[in-house]
Amino acid sequence: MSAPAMKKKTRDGLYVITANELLSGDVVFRNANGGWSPGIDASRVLDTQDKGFVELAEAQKDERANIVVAPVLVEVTVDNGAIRPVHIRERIRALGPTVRPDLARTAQGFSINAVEERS
Amino acid sequence: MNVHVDGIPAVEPSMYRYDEFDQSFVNARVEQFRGQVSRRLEGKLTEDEFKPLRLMNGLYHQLHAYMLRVAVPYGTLSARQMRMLAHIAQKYDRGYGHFTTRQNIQYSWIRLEDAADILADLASVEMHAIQTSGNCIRNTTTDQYAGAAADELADPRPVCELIRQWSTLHPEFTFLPRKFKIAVTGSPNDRAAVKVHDIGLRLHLNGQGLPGWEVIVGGGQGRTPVVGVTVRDWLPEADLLPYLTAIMRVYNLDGRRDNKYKARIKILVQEMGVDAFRDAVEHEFAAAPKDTVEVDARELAHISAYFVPPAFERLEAFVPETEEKKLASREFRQWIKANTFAHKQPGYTIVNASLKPAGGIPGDATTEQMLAIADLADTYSFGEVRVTHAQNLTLPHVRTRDLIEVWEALQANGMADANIGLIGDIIACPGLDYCSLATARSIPVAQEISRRFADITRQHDIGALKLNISGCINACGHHHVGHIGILGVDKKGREFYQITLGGSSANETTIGEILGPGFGAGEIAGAVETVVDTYLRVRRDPSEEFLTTWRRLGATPFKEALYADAGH
Ligand code: SF4
Repeated sequence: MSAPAMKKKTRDGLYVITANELLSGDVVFRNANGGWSPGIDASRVLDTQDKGFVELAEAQKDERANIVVAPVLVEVTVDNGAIRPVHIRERIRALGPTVRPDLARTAQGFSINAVEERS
Repeated sequence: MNVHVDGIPAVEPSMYRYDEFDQSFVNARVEQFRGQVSRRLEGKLTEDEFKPLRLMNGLYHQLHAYMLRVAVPYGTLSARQMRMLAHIAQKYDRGYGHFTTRQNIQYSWIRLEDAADILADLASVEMHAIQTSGNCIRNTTTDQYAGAAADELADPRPVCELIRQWSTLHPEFTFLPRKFKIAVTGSPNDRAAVKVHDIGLRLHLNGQGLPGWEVIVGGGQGRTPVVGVTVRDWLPEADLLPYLTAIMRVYNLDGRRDNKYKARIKILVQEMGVDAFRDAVEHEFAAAPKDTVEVDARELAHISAYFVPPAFERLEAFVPETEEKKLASREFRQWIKANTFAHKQPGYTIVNASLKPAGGIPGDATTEQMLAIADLADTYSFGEVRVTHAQNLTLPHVRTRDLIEVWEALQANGMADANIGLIGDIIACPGLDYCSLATARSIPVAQEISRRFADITRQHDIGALKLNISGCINACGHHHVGHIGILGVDKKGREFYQITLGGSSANETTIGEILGPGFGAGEIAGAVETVVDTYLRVRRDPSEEFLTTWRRLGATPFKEALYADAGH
């Protein structure tokens, strides 16, 4: 899918771009160098939705180059440099299944702790 | 003789084997998919072009990675096939697989570059992932005790296989309005939930004592749960495929295609009315050429030959050692009571391996557990394993005198929780931990509830109780037909859970009733405890099961208990 499933209306907020690697299917985040990293902490944070869409257009080039699939903007908060997606779905995507901590990835801004995530 | 993946001879189970046509067809599909993956990786196919091709081969893209759904035709596996599933979990995934309510297995961490190799491995043991996606007739499901249960009239699997062959890439039925699911039971006690499938088939005897099929149409779960209706009470077996063809034609012609939520056959039956739908099917059936009937009968006879019962020994039904062990060990007694089922052959017993340890993930099995079950099948169950729609595994043909050994082996592998059909035997879909369609998580809720009810003796005191959880309205976790059903929803970005009570997929199928306002993630397990405690308080006596109490008293005592102090 190439078009982001989001409203075009500009909104304040912080955003990162996520996708899945074509070959492995793994969740990846667009980093400051314009590459893709497995951890959300390496993400480039865009401080308006407009900037997000500009970066997304760049990310979509990587989709056409068969590096990633389905890049999208994800809204986040940043607290002391720690990036945390606003929606639980994206928090789970960033860390892996909450019920398999042995398979989890890490993030500074939030944990795999099921109770914390579910509150 | 089969040779399994490690080169050790395996037992020949009584199940369908591919003929040359089946094998070359599946092999050709694997090579075709290999080519399609290569073209995708070379950039010659876009994701939009590739997606329908991968879905046709069971390869989805889920929350974290590619997910491969492998068909287990009507839930029957040989030990050799189970070893291959273990091999795939180990080599290509992260050491486990997830058995689903459709009697299939899903792998959640598949790499695209490995997909064709996995399909080739599956093809080498006569398996594939075709028709596990898309608007086609999906894997036919059936009673997990087929061919073994003391209460069945006949083994339904030959008919399931006939349907599989008829429906596989049937040119008329590869582009239906929506997906289509058929379930079959050969027992008067429905364990296949036939009334909540697009078509349900139930074998029974007519007034003259002749076996034939009741044809039930238009059942389903999802966002519009409906109990199917009988369109033919008794259909001779010879007419089965022409009659199914007639149903499919009516659906294909008149089923809605304008709205995906109204495209299942249940909506068509409701919108036309049962009588008009039945008339349309009968009309189509009457007009259909009958020259295929003899071919079908020959094919069915040919298929049935594969399902001859295994070479059972003539054994005494009463085994003193087993009885003594039951007297001596409460654990063993509880396991026998919950996890075994009466076999049609004296001296044999059906054994269920529970994939529901307290605090565990319902339906998940590790590589080691799959290998252990395969070994047990070879040693004790004529090389056969079944996958149940309740996400457990079954060894269908165990000698009663071997039960103690099988129990000990299952214990050693974490599959002996004596909870089949009890509150610990929770059905739960993958939910938001894995599924990209989910609105809330299912598994942590199941884990928390199963921990609270971890005491097996307490579970036995509570008695028969089916608790089913879905992570969204699609209802893969069968919450509508749980005695207690839980549906996870998203309420302003938070996980929220609705409780339904009184659902059942047994003979008297009912859709559960929503009790009232839902509960937050931190409250839901406590709410379930309140429901159970209320039942224990109001049941007539310990022999009155939860569902009976619910049907006798209705929602009032449960509502009072749940909402009285909650301020709802
Ligand atoms: S019920 Fe919903 S969340 Fe659960 S597996 Fe089905 S689609 Fe996914």
